[in-house]
Amino acid sequence: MSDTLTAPVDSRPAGVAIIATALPRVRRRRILAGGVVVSVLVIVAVLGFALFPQLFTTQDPIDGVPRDKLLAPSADHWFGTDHLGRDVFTRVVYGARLSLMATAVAVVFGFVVGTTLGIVAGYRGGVVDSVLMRIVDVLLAVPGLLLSLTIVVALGFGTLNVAIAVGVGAVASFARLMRAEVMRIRQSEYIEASIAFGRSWRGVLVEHVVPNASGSVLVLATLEFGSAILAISSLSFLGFGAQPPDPEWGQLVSDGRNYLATSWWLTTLPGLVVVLVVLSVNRIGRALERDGVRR
Amino acid sequence: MIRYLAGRGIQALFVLWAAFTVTFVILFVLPSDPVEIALSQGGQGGIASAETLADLRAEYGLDQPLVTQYFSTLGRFVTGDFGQSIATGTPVATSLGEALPQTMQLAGVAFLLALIVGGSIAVLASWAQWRPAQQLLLSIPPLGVAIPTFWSGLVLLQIFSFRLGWFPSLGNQGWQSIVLPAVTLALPNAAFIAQVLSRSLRATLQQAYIQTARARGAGATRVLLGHALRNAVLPAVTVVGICVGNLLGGAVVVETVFSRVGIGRLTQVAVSAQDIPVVQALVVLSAAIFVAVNLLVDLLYPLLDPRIAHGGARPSRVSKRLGAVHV
Repeated sequence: MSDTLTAPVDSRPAGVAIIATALPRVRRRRILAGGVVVSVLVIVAVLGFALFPQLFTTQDPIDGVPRDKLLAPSADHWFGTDHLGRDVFTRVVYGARLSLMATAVAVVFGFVVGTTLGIVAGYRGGVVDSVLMRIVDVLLAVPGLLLSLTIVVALGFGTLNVAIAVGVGAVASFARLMRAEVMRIRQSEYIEASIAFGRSWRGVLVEHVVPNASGSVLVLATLEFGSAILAISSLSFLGFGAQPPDPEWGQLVSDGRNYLATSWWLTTLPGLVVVLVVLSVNRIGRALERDGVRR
Repeated sequence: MIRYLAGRGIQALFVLWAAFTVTFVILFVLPSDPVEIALSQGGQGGIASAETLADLRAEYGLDQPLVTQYFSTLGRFVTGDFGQSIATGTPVATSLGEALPQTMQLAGVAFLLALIVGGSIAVLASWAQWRPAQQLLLSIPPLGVAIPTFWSGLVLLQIFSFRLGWFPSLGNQGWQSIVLPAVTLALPNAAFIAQVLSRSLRATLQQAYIQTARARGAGATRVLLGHALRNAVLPAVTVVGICVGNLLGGAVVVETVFSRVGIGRLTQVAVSAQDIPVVQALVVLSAAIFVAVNLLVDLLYPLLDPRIAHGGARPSRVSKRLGAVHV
């Protein structure tokens, strides 16, 4: 996937290229903007859920009102209530914290380990590069979800372990992208010049390589965030993540499975929130990619 | 050509060996004791005496040093003996033999569906002249990629099983039982294929030979189906491997949602019981399938695209140079 992130080389004369890319971009931006604004609003709302759940709901996520069990969505209960009379919307709001925290841990883990591997491989080259990249190949040879499941077996169940397991799955793509970026930047003339002027490799790395690579890595991180939400909610759905009664999105959907025939809202509405969030994150990621964070 | 084949074969075997080693390290070196984990999962941890544990450990060869365990396990895997489940005592090969055909069937149907639906969306989006229609078609794949499989499966169950009663909600009996799981499993893959193919079509349609075809009076449909599609499909072939990975991972969720017998369900159960021998066999098997499919794609690619030949296969200098680039 990393090849889609590298900007196309424009061989046209500079003036023509600027006009050709600037004109449609203005128009495209206007069309894009609508979707991106909505996406940002969704993400802001969900972040709000995670940080200040009390602002969004006054009900209790753990203790329900048994009398009000399995009520269909209404003005009082936007997403209905579950078999213990708990408000499902409230549980979704409180579930945002665990879901998003796990996702953040996964992406940060993948980012830190992956980019470190990539920088070392790209900068050292030779045997180190070959060995590291073969390890990355192996990580890619096991389907992502199965690799995560293997790690879950070794580490045990729970939200943090699931997050790490998903993070390991993301290491490979970060490592590949970062290595490609380091190799690309290494070969540019100004790097040669700055080494010729006696800069140390570490200095060059911090001053030139990292800022240059940050754009495409940011795009990848955004897109990985979307897939990490999916992976984490899938693992929680399978029962390996958050343990009840703590609410978590995938686990909320899983809880509703027993009432599938009678209470559609228990699975459909929390799942819809996951879809909405992933869609928004991907949308923002693609907008960043298209508008060229790296110019 | 033979040298190329041998090289690719050895490379595939190496990746497979490495996948085995990585899973062994993750599963056997990290946790302290598979037997204890498996028993405590079954709720008998308190009852089992130290003696029972030691006996079980000896039975599974877990009292040996790790290096010995590694080589004996590797040796067994090579000869096709995947050991036995700690939780149930059944040989893993037996469970695999029952489950594998079911999952192959499901994944095969799902892949075919994904190919047809994803391909159609990509072709229609490129063919549509009317911009809103094109925008609408192109907005489907991003949506498909964002929907979690467990959710789409449950929604389909709700509508087509419980509400309309068209399909059974669980099991492997009859062709009706495969429809909903296959559709669920196909969804994200169809979206993925549509994305890759429409990107590839867009790039192909900008090439000079397409302009030539247009200049010679070929209509939009003719240009698309007769000229562009054949070339645009080629880069898309390389993502078949990724699809197979998605299908194997997706099967875990889909078979759990629809309570189907299969590799995925077996995985879910084994992970729940932390049944380490079964998990390792399943992961290595998935890696083997994944590696084999990718090898096949690599080997078939030059047959589909005569411009790319492997070194030595064709005597001409141009093809040799291209072959070298490819290898």
